[in-house]
Amino acid sequence: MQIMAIDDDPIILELLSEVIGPMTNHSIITATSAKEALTMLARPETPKIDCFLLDIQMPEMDGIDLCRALRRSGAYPFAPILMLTAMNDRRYIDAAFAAGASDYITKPFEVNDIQLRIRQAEHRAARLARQIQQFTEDSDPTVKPKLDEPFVLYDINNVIDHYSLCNYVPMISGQTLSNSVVAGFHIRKIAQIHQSATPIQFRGLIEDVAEIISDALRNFNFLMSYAGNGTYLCVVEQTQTPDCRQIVDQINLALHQLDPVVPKPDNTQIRVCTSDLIPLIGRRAEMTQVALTMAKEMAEKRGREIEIELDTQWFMSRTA
Amino acid sequence: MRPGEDPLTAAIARVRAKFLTSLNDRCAEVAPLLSCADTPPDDILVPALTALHKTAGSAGSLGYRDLSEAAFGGEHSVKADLDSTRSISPYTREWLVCFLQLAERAMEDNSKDAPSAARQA
Repeated sequence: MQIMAIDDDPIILELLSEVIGPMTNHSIITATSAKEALTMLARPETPKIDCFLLDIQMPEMDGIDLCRALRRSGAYPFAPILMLTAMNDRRYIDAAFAAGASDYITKPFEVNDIQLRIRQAEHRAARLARQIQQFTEDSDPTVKPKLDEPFVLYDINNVIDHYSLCNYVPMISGQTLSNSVVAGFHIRKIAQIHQSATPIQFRGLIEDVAEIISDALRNFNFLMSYAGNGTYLCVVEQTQTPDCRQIVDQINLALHQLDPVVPKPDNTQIRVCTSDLIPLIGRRAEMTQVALTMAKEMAEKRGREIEIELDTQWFMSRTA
Repeated sequence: MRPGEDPLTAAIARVRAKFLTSLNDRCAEVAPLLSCADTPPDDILVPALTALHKTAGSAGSLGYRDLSEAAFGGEHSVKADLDSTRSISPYTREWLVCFLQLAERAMEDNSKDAPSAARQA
């Protein structure tokens, strides 16, 4: 990958150049400010950048604004952006991921950790590139995303890609003063919908439901992602714990009003169900992935249980 | 690179040498804060906070974790003072003195190591 590192500390740039350039198969160019980076990127002779390393606290334009500018420019919608910063407050972490960061590394960092996180970003970038190939307009429109595969949704408030959410959660779990909960939201009968919908209809449904969930949570401090299998994971700051039942009613009402264009299994409306709220408090960073998996599985299990309950009620009413 | 030294250690040593060279300047940015009786003026405050912030971010990766923590503590303590009393508190002064002492020690250790490193080279 061609990496660009932006930091106002020349020592950090020197260190990154030493440990990334000659010791990996990546090339690195550096800039000491956001302004210099944007100027370099505008030059035709600058190589295409595949990955960014951004400091946050820099004079004039900070790294979060630069991250947002890079994403909004349209030139780097998929390039991994790794924040590399001494700012470890929750508000910076939230703002960085909401602006489009893929990962967040706090300084001082271990050199081996940087190398590992860049390798992970490279794998993620390769997977994203394959997905993009599938979904660009000139690719085969008959290719449908796999049911269980998370894919990236763009331009929906507080929705980030699933890889970034998995990197975000360990960062906030270590914060002692502001803990969070994770909730899963699942589209019921998603397997049947996936089977009968066209690729465009399926993708449209996933986007519509993401927008509706994002809107229902607008009064909370949250980030969410699409985790595949019709399930969304939402990380909400615990100071404003949501009433999940009320949120689900709100989402289902909005879905009823929108009536997404998609084949409805058994002519029933598209409906969403939710998991319990799973606290992230007190979990070690490596255990936070378990909380995400639990929320996903719980929401999906709840979906199956509701269908069984409804089938049983229907059968009982027929036999009564 | 010293005989038997792996490339990563050698690379970090090269950056560490540059860091130590710049550390004297960074201390010179921080030290004036100690002589401010009231709210430090921006021409003292901004360079001092920048020096502390940069050192907090880089020193730990180069093997100076204590120095990094002292810089981090100093930076945050100065910011907390400015949010409340607007003047440098005795607690913050302790952080700053600690930072300057650790920086001096790192520079001294490096100058002691330099002749032996030169002999080995």
